[in-house]
Amino acid sequence: MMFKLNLQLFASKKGVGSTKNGRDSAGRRLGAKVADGQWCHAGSIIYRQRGTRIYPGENTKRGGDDTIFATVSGIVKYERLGKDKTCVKVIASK
Amino acid sequence: MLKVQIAYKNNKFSSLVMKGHADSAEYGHDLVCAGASAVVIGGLNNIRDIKQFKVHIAEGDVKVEAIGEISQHDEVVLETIVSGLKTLQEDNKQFIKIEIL
Repeated sequence: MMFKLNLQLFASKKGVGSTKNGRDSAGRRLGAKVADGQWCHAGSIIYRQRGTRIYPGENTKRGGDDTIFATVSGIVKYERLGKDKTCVKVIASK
Repeated sequence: MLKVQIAYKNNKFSSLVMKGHADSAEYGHDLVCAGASAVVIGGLNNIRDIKQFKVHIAEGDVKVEAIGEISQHDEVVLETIVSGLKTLQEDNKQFIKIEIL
């Protein structure tokens, strides 16, 4: 054959560009690490978060990246705080 | 819009110029473009004495010019190309426009 056939010889390439999107960062695995009613060691992480979705309650503290961790060993309890907030506390037990 | 200009001299084929894009769909799905390409390139591949023509084929730009004496066979082939393009134009007037000069 003398001439090769390109079936899209008269098609416009308008709009056929590449996207500048398509990147995403890896998931940060946030959320609860110890469930309500579970026992946990002192110092163990209870809740990973950005900002204070969950507020620290008794026997818990908030770390620099807002992580909530236990300051004593015991049973974890999630409770309501005021109208629309949630806090977590640890009931000390051996 | 794909523009086709066909010129005759003394009732004999002189030149065929096709410019532009059919734009009936996005690249890869443009059926009118596919039809026009197949008719033209298919026809040109059936020309016996290609030396009598100056042929330029590029994306969105095809030009076929008679530079010598055309045989009867090749005249019929060229007429087939023209008739194929006219047939394509019947239902796709908004994508392909044929002008006889």
